[in-house]
Amino acid sequence: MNSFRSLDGERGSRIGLVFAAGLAVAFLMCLAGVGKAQASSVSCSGTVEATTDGHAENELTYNLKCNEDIKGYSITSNREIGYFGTETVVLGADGEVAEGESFGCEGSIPAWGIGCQGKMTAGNTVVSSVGTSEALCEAAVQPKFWATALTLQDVKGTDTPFVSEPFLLKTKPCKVLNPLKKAKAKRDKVCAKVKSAGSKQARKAAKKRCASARAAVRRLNAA
Amino acid sequence: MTRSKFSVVWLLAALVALVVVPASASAKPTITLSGSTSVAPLATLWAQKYVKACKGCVKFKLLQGGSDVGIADVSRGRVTIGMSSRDPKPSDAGGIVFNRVAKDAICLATNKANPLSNLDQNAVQSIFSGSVRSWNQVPGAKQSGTIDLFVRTPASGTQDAFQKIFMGDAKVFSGASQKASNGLVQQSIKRDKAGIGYLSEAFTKGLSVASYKGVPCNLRNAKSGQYGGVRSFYFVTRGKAKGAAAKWIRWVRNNKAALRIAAREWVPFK
Repeated sequence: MNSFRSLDGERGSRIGLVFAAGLAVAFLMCLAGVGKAQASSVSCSGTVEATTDGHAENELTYNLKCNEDIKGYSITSNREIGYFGTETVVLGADGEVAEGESFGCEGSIPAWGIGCQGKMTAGNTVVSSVGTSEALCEAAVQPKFWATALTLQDVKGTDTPFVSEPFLLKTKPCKVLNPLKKAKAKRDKVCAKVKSAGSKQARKAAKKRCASARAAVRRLNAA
Repeated sequence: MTRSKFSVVWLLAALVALVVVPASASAKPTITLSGSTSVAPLATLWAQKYVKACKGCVKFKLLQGGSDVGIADVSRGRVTIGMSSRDPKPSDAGGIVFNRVAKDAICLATNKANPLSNLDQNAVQSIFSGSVRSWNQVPGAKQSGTIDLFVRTPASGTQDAFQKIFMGDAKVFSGASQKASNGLVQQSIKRDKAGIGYLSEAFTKGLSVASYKGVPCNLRNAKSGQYGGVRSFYFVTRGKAKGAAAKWIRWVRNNKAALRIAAREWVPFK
């Protein structure tokens, strides 16, 4: 009789172990399959930096690269967005424009982010711009930008949309936060000392410091 | 109704007013826009400046889709403003108003490796109708072989304006590659040495731009009226613009900052 019970103990238990291991592997594979279908597997990275030749106020250029084909993405920030580029450029790994790949971006002004639809192949980079409502460093906390990608994954033979987790984009931190607010506070403090100065010499020195503080505010306002 | 019942009704009405009136009074109006991908870049710049200038008096929601989509959306009341880069058509729904806000030049562009100095209307019609299919037949072309035509999708205002201004009665070649936006036409021509297409002047960076009827396609010639390929940008409204939309359109047409923004890459309203 060719059954486990009929075999001698050692051989039977070995076959039993192999069978059990096989079942476990099959079960794990099923789990892995289920896991893949229920979470986005895409991973993206990118940067956000100040634009030097932009047309919008406080314009920043962002780029985003993902390890899977994507059909859309969103950019969100802890800064209010006052502008966004409505069309994007997608660059291939060779740095040349990727034919037929692009995104159209839509959203509210002002808002905390934008959404873009289109397509990009894995490994390519999408480049576009956003503009913050206030100067980037004019806030109490460091600026942060996140990107979320939309992918299509095969679930039981059907392309199913999956939204990824937010990926933090690299941004150069501000050396000074709230520089204008701080400069204004300094100006008010320094200029108040002009009136309260006890001597002619002290008043002259206070006036000089006040003028310098006012100039600093003007510089920041102009920037 | 007894006196007490009457009082209760008034009390309820007053309570409702207390709850509803402050909420609606504090809510910012939202101007929703959809339509032309050519107008959208200018509209976002205007929106940013206006929000700052009026200290956040209004919020914008900007969608795209092409001029036909914007015009259809506004005529059905889906958006406040439809962005259009084409003139009104008899087939458009009744009751909509085309408010001109700026002008834009449509340029004829080729790959940098294949610059064309000038194209007259005959040459444009021959190339884009498909009666001339080889660069060997185009005087001055450095490229040889088949011409790759890049045109816009039928919903595009740029397509409509190109047909009206450049093509006249000639039909655009049905085998041409249709692109949904100016940016996609720009990218395609950049990649393809045998490519030629038409697009908004604001998107010609990195391309070789041909003169049309002997006049170079640039902002200066578009502003002076010398360049023939100029079309209008419109904010289309359902009836006469009202409220926040009317204020914004007035600002776009008259405010110095708004006119300066338009003058960077487009032809301002005045």
